[in-house]
Amino acid sequence: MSTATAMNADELARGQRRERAQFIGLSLPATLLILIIVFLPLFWLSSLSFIDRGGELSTENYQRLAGDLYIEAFVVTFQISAAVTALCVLLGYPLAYWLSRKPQHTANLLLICVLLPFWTAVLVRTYAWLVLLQRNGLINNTLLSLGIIDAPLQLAHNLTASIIGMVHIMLPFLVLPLYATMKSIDGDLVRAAVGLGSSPTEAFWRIFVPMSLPGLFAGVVLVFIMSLGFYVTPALLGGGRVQMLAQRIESTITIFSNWGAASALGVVLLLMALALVALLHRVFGLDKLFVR
Amino acid sequence: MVKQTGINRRGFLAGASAVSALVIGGPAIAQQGTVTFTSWGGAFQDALRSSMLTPAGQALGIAIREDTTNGIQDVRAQITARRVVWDVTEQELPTAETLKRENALEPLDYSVINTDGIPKELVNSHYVGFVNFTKVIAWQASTYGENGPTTWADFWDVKKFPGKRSLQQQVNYALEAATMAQGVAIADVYKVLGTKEGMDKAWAKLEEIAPHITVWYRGGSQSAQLLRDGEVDIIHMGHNRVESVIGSGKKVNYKFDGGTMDIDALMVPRGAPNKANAMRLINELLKPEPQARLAKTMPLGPVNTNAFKTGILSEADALKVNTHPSNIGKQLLVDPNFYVGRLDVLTERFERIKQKRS
Repeated sequence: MSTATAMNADELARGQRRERAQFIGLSLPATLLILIIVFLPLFWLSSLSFIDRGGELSTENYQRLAGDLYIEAFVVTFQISAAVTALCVLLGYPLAYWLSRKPQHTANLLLICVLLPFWTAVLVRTYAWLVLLQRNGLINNTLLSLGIIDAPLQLAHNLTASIIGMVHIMLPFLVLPLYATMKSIDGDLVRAAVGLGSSPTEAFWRIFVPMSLPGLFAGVVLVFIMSLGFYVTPALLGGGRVQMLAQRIESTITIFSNWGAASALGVVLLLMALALVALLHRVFGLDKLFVR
Repeated sequence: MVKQTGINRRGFLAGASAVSALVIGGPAIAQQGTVTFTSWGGAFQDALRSSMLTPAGQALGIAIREDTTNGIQDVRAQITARRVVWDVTEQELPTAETLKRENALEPLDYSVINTDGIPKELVNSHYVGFVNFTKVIAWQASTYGENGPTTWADFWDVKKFPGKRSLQQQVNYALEAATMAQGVAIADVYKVLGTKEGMDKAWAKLEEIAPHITVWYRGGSQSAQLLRDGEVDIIHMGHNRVESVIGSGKKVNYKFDGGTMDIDALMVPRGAPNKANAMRLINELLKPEPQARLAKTMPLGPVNTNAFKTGILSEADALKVNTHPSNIGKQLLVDPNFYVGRLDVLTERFERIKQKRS
């Protein structure tokens, strides 16, 4: 009897070990791939940033970042990212709510409309905005012919144009996680609140909104972090005046061939993004997003 | 295929260029060897091929391989990787001077290369002028008619010439333009910029116009788009591109006055595999006839002044070319030494002016 139990336990332990080995074996290729294509270059990049142009070990590349030019670029980058995120929330939240209240087949159809721009290259969409916004573009020509304006508005080649283009590109990144979360909220809870005497508006704000927050935060983090590294849209729609960090990095390499300085910019941007995620985690608890 | 372990970026680039090199010239050519030539690609390189490269390959009996370059970093990469695959490359004059100082170029063999008709200042021990490019002030005829802004003082005069303005987003030419806008004569521009007061005045002048610049354009194709779509009224851009916009039916005017003329040079990277053929090819490309044929395809200036005597260009075509004797004196020839070694410092200051929010 006791030997049988012991044998059984033995068998179980062996099975467990085998299973663990199987899992490790299965995840090994992906882990190695990530190590090689993500962490190795990252390590190389950060080590490069500590080498000056003479090939000596120094913090020259970081000292340079304290200059007006780079501080301004950091400020602009964070301001634009914050504005894009805020606009995405304003536009995306009602959209996701509306979608989540639709019957499944209608919602699926509408979701495809949200995803459609996703399948077009960012470059193409950015040029499409140029066609719409420029002086002889669709918007100005329509407004002029309707007699609403006398002279074309300056819509393209500025900060506004860059933000419009970026919001368009980033919107699906906010809507999709938000929609998924809203879909999983039990509608009965809101109805129960109303049944217990709450007004529909109050029930929405006190029951529905708090329950949708995890999806909202996931979207916000995604949009904000991705906006920090934007290049194409501000470069094409900003008229050369809107200079985000990615553009600075590019010019550091193409004009000055200074890999160390460009790496330093990249490292600082990465650290800032990580610090931001850590802060959001501290305040809102991002682990709640993944463990439900 | 690759013996070395751990290809670095430069090795990879050099390898990639070798792979992308393209053989032109048919099998009919008796091949006494090959030579690899690189330029900027696109319509420009197509024009080079039809007007210069194919005839040169036939005349020399060698196969000319082609590749494209994005500038100085490509040459540096090959030199650093000790894997030079290009024999002749076309680069901007400041790039040529920088590479020469970095000891990255072979000296040119002037016993093979004939420099008759080429201005002396463009014949250097390590590089030689090839094609002249000019950026001119172009304007929309619909906004200003025939009497548009023809001087840099006009470009700066936002009251006399109200409208949307555009400059390229690089410090090169901007300081020169700002100096000419103060009324400094073309011949004195670099003398003035050589002094501290001259530089301070140029920067101040740039700060004055910066808020009135609607678009700081990135490169040639964007400048053409801005002009063609009527996005801006006055723009400083490549005159060959202005001509192509005019050719597409758009009413646009320009004058050569105050234009900034830059020159692309030909050079041989140190350690080029086919040095002897490289010298022969350069000699062929500088002859008056191929130079005139290029100018006929695109109004880009031949460095060889004898090109105008070949009869290949009609008088009307010749007048559109920036190096025609009646045009050349109106333009500023850009000094390659002005920016060498301090482009980064100047660019940072320029970027701050551009970035300033109005």
